[in-house]
Amino acid sequence: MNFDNLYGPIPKVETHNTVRAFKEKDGRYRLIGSQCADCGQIWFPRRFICPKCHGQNLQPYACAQGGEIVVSWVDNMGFPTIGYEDIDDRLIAMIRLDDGIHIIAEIAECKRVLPKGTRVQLVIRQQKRDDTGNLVYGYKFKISE
Amino acid sequence: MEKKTKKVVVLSFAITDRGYPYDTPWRKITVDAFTKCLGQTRLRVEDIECGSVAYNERTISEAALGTQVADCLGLPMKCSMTPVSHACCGGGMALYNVWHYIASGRYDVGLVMTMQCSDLFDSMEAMNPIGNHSDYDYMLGFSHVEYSYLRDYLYREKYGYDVTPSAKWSQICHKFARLTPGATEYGKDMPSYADLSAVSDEGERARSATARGSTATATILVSEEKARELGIVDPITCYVSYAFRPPYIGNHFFYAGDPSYVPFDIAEQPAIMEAAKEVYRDAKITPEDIDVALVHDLSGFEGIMSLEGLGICPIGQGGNFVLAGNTDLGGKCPTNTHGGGIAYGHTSVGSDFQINMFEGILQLQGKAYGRQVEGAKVAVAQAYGTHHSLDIVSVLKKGDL
Repeated sequence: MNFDNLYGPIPKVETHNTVRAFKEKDGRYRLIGSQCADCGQIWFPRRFICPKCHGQNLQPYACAQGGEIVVSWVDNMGFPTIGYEDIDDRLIAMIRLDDGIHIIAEIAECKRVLPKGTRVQLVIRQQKRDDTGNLVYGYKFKISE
Repeated sequence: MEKKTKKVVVLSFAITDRGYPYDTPWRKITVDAFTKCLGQTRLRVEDIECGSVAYNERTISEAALGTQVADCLGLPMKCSMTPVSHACCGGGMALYNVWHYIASGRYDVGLVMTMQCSDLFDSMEAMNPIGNHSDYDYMLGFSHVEYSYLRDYLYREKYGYDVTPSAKWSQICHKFARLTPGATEYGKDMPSYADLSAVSDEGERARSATARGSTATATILVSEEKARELGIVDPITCYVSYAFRPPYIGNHFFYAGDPSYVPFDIAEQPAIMEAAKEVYRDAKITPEDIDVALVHDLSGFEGIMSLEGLGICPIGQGGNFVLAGNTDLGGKCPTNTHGGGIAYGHTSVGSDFQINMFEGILQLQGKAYGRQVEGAKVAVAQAYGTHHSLDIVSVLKKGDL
């Protein structure tokens, strides 16, 4: 987006809070999604109805913790996501996990576009402060050693 | 999805002017759009029988917004006003609601309202950096912006393009915007092609949508019988359809929940394909019948992917289609003749769908002065919400009654 022609200051209001983050802690810390016990389809984020077979028998599923880059992009456009204003450029990537699930994640400790197929692995990192002042932690990925 | 009994005619439409200060309340811009729209007709406020209003849920803090809007417009007590929260294609969804109310035969006059306003709480401009509808996006700091660029980059890599199709797209849009009095870029200097094709952050910004600020629109739809009663000359009929994808963008890759989505990732738009299939069938057209296309293009590649989804060019060939000049006047399908989001301005639910629809109507009415597609009889308008989780496609036809 190009904000050159706005008519006033951009209001910056956070709509995210600690309770909301707490409810999704399993997914945010450990990549816990869902697996349908009826058809076997795996999902991330977690679901309560399987869109494939419409069954409701979904079980927690631990997603693969490694994968490869599908596409990446350095977010340095100058209007960072709220809460990230004081953080330098971020490398954002779409990752195909080894079990076939696709997730979007930040690549830690890297600021350059990575080629398709680069191997990455799950890490937990500090994210930002939410609107109640608490630090949010969650998943990122880093280049596999 | 049958039992659509009546044709629906666009009676009038209006969009608010640019430049509302940030302290303008949503009621003010809503009333401005409504009175401007109603003033073009012989109808009175009490003739409005039904309606739908689209808004961003983070824009308006009042509850029961449908009633709030009906009250602020002074609509009759029997007039239902259905609120819609469907992000940037919300205006299209409001149209979808009212279109069905009329097509079903229950009502003859309906009002479609849209608004995007920075009411102290939030605005589209703030929403962009906040994120989207998935908790994971909020928590981990991803927004429209990340999605948009990842989508563009994957499209380019998959189909072998550099930035030139996007640069060409935005150049044509900027040219059209200089001919469109309502465009944010109207009256400004034309950017150079070198600026638009630069491989840099500045180049990316130059090829991205501008912002427009608080905006509202109003559209009045009537049944074909009411159009005849009002003596409408050369009525424009409309058709509309909708489809969605999962809000979490990871699920856009080979989505197992619907067999028709399985072959695709974020470089294609199957929800547009599904919506287009239905609306083309309803309107009895094929993509070859489309004289002018108005698509949602927060970047040039998004517009290109939309043309592919609409079947106007083959998947993966949109870049070449644009480079060959096919989206310009005289091309196979003149596109975004008002300048699109790149030059007209992104307002999200405020008017992202409606500006496309309104330009389509102007084209069919022969009133798109300086950018007119000669003899245009069929236009298609499209918009998406929440990074193509929601897609709406509308067909506008002249000479359909």
